[in-house]
Amino acid sequence: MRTDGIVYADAEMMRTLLSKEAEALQQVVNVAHLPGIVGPSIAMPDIHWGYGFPIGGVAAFAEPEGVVSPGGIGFDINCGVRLLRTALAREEGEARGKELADALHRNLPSGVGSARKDLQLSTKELRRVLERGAAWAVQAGMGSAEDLAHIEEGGALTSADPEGVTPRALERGRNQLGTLGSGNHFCEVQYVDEVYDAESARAIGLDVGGITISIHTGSRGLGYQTCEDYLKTMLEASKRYGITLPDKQLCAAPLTSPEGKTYLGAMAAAANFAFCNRQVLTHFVRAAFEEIFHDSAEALGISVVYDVCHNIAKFENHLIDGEMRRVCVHRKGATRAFPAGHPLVPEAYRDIGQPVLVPGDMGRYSFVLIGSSAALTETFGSSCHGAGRVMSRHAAKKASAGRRIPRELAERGIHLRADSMRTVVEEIPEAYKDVSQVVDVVEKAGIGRKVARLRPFVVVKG
Amino acid sequence: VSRGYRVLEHTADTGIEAWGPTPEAALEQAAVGLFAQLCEPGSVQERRSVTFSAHGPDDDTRAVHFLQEALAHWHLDRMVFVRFEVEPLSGEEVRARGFGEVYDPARHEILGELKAVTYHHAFFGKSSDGERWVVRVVIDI
Repeated sequence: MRTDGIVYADAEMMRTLLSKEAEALQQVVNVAHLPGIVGPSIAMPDIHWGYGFPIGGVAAFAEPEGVVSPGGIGFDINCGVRLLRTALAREEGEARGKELADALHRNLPSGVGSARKDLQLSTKELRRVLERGAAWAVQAGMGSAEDLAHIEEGGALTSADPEGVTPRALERGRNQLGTLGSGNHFCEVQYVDEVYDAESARAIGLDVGGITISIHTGSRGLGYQTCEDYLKTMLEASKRYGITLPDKQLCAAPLTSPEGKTYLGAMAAAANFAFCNRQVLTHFVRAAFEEIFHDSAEALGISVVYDVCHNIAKFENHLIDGEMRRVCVHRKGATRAFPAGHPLVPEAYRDIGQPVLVPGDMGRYSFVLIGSSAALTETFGSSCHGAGRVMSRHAAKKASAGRRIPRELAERGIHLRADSMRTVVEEIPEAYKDVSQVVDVVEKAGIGRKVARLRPFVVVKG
Repeated sequence: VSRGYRVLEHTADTGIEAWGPTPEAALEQAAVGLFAQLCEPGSVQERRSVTFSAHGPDDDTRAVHFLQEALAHWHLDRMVFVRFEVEPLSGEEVRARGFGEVYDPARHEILGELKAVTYHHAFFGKSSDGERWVVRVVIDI
């Protein structure tokens, strides 16, 4: 090990990790073996077993010897969460819950290989998406400049190089812009049921009883294929640069190498596809609300709170041993959580800190947190990203046998629409850790602060 | 059974262990097992066949690349396979033919997304007792 491993967890989580998820801890150790790692190999409280890097992992690498590892970002490049707020009250939303669920399910293609028939892109246009990210959608009439001002990086990584994205990856992504996909991806309509920090909540525009919308998805097939393509490149590169790997999935290349640079450009392009995907989805969410409430999205006050990446690598400046250094921070299942005053926090939140969006399971709740200065010094400005599974998909299926999950949720006031019943049974609430436990650890450790809790009443899944 | 596969369950992902009397048979079974996670094999007919090949510097990597190439036909052309024939292995190349048909939503139920075949703990070689060939891979689903 070249450095320490640090895992954020409470005593119970640590016991579970040691007894059932020892391999996830081993992965924290494995990451600590990579060349040029700066500071500790970190895991958030929603840590679980990944491949190569653990999910919930954060690690920073510095030039010249530091590396970039596609496995430290994951297959779903820039998988992330976007939160929208509305001027609607809980009662108004719940009264139209069923219709909203139907309209959203109709408007947002979901499920395995979901495609949009109304958005077929030529290769030229697709390349523009990869260059411009969310701004492409805004230029196409799907959103506003105001939306872009409320997205991490303004909705586009300028380092994107579409040339690095292979024809195969372009092909997989071609008709998937504006789709949710399957698995744990979703769109939820929620209401704010608790506010913990009134001042920050006000600055973010969240009031108890107000309606919000969350979108969780990423770069779809285009990102998965980009990761796959560059893992191949990196396997060869690791050999060439003499990087010993405790696990092939950790394969990496120096940040300064042609392989490392090409991957970073392709990764940024795939990240832009994801930003654009969430922007296009936002457009169709607005359209669904306009249809149901017979009013314009503007009049309904549907605006972007924030949009965070939780699978990404970025060059950032961090204070390390008293010295400001440019490092490549890998976040795999972790969210950036910069504090008030940081120049990379959008202007609207400069006084309070960056909103951190932490989805839970489809039956309970999600959280909005705010970044903190302790996160900046301890975790390269990072926080948790979600609940983390506690049941395998098979175990979840077993636990669902003989039950009617949609009806159970309906009895709790949640309208569920899903493309496949298989996804529903695999995604039952109890298949996930209670996200409040994860968030509590984050807050106690000081690497994020709770602002509000959101409860879903409409859930659309793949 | 001299050849077959089983699913290895993990909290967040799925693995496949396949075996056969020859390395080719183990690869064939791994690919059949992979597609069985995507689509109910009983619903797929052998209407079409596709040839493909993969390379890899070592056995483990070669097996992963072979499965990635098989899965690419789903991702790009919506092919669902139910049977594979792997040509006798030589050197770094695997040449194979997959048998199946183009996905038809009316007849095929998709069981779940298969994002990718990973290198994590990938293994392709003889079993510890030396009696059969084994492929083990983890799939990101």
